[in-house]
Amino acid sequence: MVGIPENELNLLVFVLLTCGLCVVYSSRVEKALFWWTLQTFAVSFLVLVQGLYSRELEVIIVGALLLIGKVGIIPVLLGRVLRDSKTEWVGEIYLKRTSSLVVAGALTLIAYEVTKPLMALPLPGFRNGLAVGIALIFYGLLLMMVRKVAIVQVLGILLIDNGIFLAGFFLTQGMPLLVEMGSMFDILVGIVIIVILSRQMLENYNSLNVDHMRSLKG
Amino acid sequence: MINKGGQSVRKLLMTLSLALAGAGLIWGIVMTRGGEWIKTGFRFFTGEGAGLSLTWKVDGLTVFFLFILLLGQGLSSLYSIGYLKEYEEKKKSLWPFFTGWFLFLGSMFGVLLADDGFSFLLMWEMMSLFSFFLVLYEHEDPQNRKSAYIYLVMTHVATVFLTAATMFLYSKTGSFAFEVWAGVVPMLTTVQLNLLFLAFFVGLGSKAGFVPFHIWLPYAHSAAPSPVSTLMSGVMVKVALYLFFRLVWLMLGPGPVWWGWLFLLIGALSALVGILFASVQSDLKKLLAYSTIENVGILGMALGSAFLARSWQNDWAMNLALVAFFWHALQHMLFKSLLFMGAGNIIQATHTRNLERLGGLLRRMPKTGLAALVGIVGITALPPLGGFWGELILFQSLWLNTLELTGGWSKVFLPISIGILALVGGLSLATFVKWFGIAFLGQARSNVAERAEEAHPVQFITPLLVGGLAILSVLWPAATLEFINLPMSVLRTGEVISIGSNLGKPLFMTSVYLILISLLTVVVVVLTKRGTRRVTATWNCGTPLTSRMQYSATGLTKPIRILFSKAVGSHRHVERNFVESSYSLRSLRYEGRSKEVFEDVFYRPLIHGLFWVASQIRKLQEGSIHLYIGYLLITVIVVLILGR
Repeated sequence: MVGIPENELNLLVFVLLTCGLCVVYSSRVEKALFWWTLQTFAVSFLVLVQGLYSRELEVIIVGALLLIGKVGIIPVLLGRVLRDSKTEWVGEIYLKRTSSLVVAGALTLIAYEVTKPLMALPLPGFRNGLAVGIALIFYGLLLMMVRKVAIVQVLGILLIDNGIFLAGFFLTQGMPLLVEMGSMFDILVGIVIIVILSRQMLENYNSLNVDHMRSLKG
Repeated sequence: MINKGGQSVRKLLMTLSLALAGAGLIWGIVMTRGGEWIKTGFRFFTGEGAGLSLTWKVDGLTVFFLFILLLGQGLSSLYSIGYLKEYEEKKKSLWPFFTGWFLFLGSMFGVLLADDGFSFLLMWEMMSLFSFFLVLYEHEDPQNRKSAYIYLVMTHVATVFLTAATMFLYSKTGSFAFEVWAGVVPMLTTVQLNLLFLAFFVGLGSKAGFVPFHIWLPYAHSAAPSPVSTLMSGVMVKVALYLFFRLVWLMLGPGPVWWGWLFLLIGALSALVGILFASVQSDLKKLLAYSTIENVGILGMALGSAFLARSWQNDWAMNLALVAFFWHALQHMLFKSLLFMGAGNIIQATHTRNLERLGGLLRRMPKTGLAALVGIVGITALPPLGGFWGELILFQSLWLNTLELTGGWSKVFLPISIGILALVGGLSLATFVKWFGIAFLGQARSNVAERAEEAHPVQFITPLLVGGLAILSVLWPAATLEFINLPMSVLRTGEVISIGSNLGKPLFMTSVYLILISLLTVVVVVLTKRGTRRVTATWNCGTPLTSRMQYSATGLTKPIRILFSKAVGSHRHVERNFVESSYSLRSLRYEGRSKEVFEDVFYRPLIHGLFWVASQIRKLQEGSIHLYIGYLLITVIVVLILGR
């Protein structure tokens, strides 16, 4: 299959992984959001470039949609909630940022380990991409686990989404347009709902700390 | 009009219950006269080889307990005709009672007849369930609800063990039939056999009321309406003991010697603990319930002695122990029924169960008092009534067991158990002196006791009838022994010796003995009739006599409470309020209570432990999103690693 050159692909995968690690390492929510936006931009760039190289209109459309929906709308929505709630720090619990970075590194190794059986992929870069996709899913879960501000939880979900998208992309070399659009609207609607819920939370608890939700336990 | 309808329903149903019992008894007596089936058993309704069919069997052992059941059913039904009137007057629906009553009786019948594990468990559960409903009949009182709850929990713990044993034997044999089980027992390893025995011991022992599984018994027996207490105390605990014979003695076989020791030890413990706690109770019915534990303990000791003698091949002692068991089981059923009926009369007359508020009832309820007196003579093992003979035979059996031994620690422990039995006898005398003396003698301690009136005629005729039966069983010991011979012929392996030759003469001399006693009584009466009698008030330094000058129920057994303070966990607190010097008191408050030691030492830590484990498990579900996401992360990783 005609695609982006090996070197460019590896570079982009490197950017994706670094952005993911930076999200985990951030101690300010704003920074984390920024790194995530950059990562998503890299994802859409990857898709666009792939589309251009292989001359497939569908893939280019997917990339464009990603660029508008995820890089355009979501950061704006989240940024607004962030400003309204005056949240600054990510609220580290269980693990400090340094330790979480170490754990994230370990998770990356695990991701490479579990993708070993898929080494038969056409390009080594694809294999790297798949492992990084799985690693991003892990990062997302880790982030949701060790941070207590609701926006960071949302970022965790978004990281997972990116990870799933990447994994799907590298495994199938571009999913059908319809599936891509469906999954993107899914995440968009999800984010809208989460933003509404976060505002609700702000009204009730005056903060985005999810620890407050413990009081809902029966 | 409605009331009248209810009345006729009550009379009709209880008469039906009575008639059924009577018919069963007569039919049984006719049937048991001769017939080889007494020894081998008579099966009916057996399915052909099907694993799950309900099968039933009657043999001599069953007949004995059926007799106890039917007798108890008849007597308590008769008593209920009078007793239930009160509920009717209070406009409380009797239908739950009737339903529970008949099903409870029916299920006990079923337990006795069951010949396979499945029908046994089924009937056993029904028995537990419907006795639970009966205990709960007066559910308006929160205390009763608590009692019923404790009963339900304990009875289910017991059922767990029985179910485990049943399932184990089923998995071994692929059949529920007792007969098949008995066949596979010799093939079991020692560990399996012992575990089976322990499962049966705990399961059946809980129902019988062995210490330390007894804690439900005082609650349940005292919370139930009196006719039900009569059945539970008189019959249900015996049904549990019957199963020891059916499932352990006949099925698991002689077993190692320690089985007998366990029975003896737990029996002695139950007897001692039961009577100690009974002695410090001031609740009319709870005292009787604890006394049931004592008597179950004595029966357990008899079982122990029989098991020991069986393993030592001491036929003589074994026969004596078995006779003692059956004799005492019969007598205890009679006396305990009688006393619960007496207690029921007192409760209906005074609406209190607290002994401290009773007193002077003998003048107001003379017939109930007379009946209760007979019951007390019986239950405290005073001659000439049956309780005495039963314990005497048990003493003999224990002693014979001791004599046959050549040495070892057994030779020390057996006499100690005899000593414990003697101590129990003494304590039970003190306990029932308190029960009777405080309730019936002296002056009334409260208004309710002062206003007490004799109960409905049926309610004192029945206990008097029971007393009559008890006396008859001693006056005509040959018949009673012939009757005891029925189960004996099933249980004894090897040569059948007539009981008479085992017991020697004393038991047959009873009639003569009784005639002597009555002659003596006549002489005493005649002698005391002579001379002058002067009736005046008791001299009391010129001040009027009040009920506060009498012994209180608590005071009467104070020495026992102090002597055994560790065992009964007694706790006292005295608050004195002096006027000027310490010689003139203004007021004095005494607060004494005894703890349920076994609940504190045994059950509470157990329950706390369970709660601790539960709370540890609950930590998994803490309500923290982070934790849940952590589970998710771990799950994803594990799935990915496993799915490689």
